[in-house]
Amino acid sequence: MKEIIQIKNMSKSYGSYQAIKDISLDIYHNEFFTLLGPSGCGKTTLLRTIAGFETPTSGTIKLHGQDIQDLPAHKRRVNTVFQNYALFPHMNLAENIDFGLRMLDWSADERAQQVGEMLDLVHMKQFAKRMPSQLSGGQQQRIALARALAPQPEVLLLDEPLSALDHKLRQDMRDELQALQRETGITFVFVTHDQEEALAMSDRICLLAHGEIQQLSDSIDIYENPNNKFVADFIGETNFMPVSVKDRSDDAIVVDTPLGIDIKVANTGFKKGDEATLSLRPEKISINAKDLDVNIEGEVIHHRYMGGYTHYTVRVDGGHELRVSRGNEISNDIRFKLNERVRLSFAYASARVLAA
Amino acid sequence: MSLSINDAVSDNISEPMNTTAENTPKRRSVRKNHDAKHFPGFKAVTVLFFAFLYLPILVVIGYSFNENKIVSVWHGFSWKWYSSALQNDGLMSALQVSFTVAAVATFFATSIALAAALVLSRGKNVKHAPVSEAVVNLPLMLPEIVFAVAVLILFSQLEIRNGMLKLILAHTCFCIPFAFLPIRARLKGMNTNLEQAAQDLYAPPWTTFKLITLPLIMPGVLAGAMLSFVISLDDFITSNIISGGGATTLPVYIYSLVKQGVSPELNAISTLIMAISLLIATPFWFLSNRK
Repeated sequence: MKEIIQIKNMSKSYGSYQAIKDISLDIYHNEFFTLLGPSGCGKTTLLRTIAGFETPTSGTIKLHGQDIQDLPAHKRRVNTVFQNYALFPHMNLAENIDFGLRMLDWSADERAQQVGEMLDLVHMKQFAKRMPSQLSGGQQQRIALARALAPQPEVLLLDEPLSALDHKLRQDMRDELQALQRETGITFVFVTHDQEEALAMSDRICLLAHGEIQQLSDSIDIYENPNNKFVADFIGETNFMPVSVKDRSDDAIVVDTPLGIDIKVANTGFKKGDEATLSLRPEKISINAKDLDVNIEGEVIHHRYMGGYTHYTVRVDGGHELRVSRGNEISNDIRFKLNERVRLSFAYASARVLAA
Repeated sequence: MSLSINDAVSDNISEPMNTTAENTPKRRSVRKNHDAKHFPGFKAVTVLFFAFLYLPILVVIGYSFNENKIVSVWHGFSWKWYSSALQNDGLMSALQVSFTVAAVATFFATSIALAAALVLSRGKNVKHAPVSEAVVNLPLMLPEIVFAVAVLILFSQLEIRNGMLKLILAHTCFCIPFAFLPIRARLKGMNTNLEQAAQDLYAPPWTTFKLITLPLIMPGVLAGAMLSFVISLDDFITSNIISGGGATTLPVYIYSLVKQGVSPELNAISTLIMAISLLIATPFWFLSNRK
């Protein structure tokens, strides 16, 4: 894996507000890299410093090993797909796509050919002469992509490009974006606040909060092995419970839980007597199914039907409440009713112990 | 419109909630009754309003074709005041001065206003931006006579004697806020993402301005230029106070004619100016209404 973008000790402040705090990260060739986080976490600022619209207060950005933090935006071989597309309203679609090529002094023949190929790539050939105002949101999105890809940038930056589209279209565009990335082989740096979007498309996800990296890993790892409470909470849903470490060996610890039972989990650096938080994902708990390491009983106090699955809240004997989700695999399946007694089971391996 | 909707809403609240099926036609009927067109006397007021605005102008146009030397007594149709006006050297030279001053002042005022608007809406770390903007707009609120006396004193201090130069400097100065306002409004309404997108696509700043910013704010620039031109052409107070030095503008010249009594020639001149203004304004209007 070769790095294409290297960010070292970068900080960005606006007056006394620190948007980015000493971030270092590498982005690799051919990678679909996602910057994920809640609004105000610094993800857009980070993207804009790569694009050249913001200058870092300190630190360096390298593109292909060359320092670019002082290079103006128009001299960086990166292109951006803007959140609201930012298509030039006074130019038709072909002219929009051609703009970057014109600025790079491509020959007329090459330009015409590239514009044609780009329109093909996003399935918009028949619309070449239309004006942006005549397009739907999804179509504008495609043209914005084509325009940014046309000059064959080293890196494509995407600033929440799907947030203005409706749900169904957004899902289609996910597949298209991923296919485009594979097809062109260009590194994508994708900014989103939507964890589902991030999980679905990314090779690696960098989760940011308060201007700091919380975790940088692939989709499976960030979901299954969160670094801390924030990550576990932001990605997907989870049950948190306060626990304390009762016993430890080299590779495992035993914690006592408010569920009234002890759980044995892999040791991630805790000492005996430590207070910690246990995270248990709702889908890892099964209801009235075969016995696992932990089997407890409780009462359904709330349920919400979601179509593909149903969310239950179960009050375990002893008073602690657990959220459980269960796929609706068979239609007309018997779902659990309010106040029904159920038995919950989960494996030790499903639980994660995180710093309190 | 907003009033009618509010009324419709409050109407619904004051009554017990009906089903939507019953509600929809009711709301529509309320709105219809409150449409301005349904107020009694709407038509009459409208007609009166337009008459008030345009009747004096129509009278001027009509009497410009009056053969009689006495302005207000109709004697028969004639072009003679037009030919007499066109042969009046004093008038023609005043007309020429007015148009030259207006054109040159418009050019400079619009350029300066454009630069100011760009700095104030796109500049980074502009110091005292709100104060600067207020200062640019201040002449709008200043009584013109104050401005006129100020430039009169300034010019005499600086010993500027060329009448044309004085007019151009003064007109440029008071036209700037008029040119500034529409350009600033247009820049404010423009998405700055577009300029960033251009730079992202390898356009250096000047090219970005030429290919993206300027075409998109052009309607504002044209509107500003047109306003400047009209304000300059129309100006009397300042032009009159600083007149002398061999340049008289049309309004000042007409005023001097009026002092000698109203001649039908004045009607002809006024009609001509109106025609020229319309000729200039029409294409500008179409241009600035284009998307």
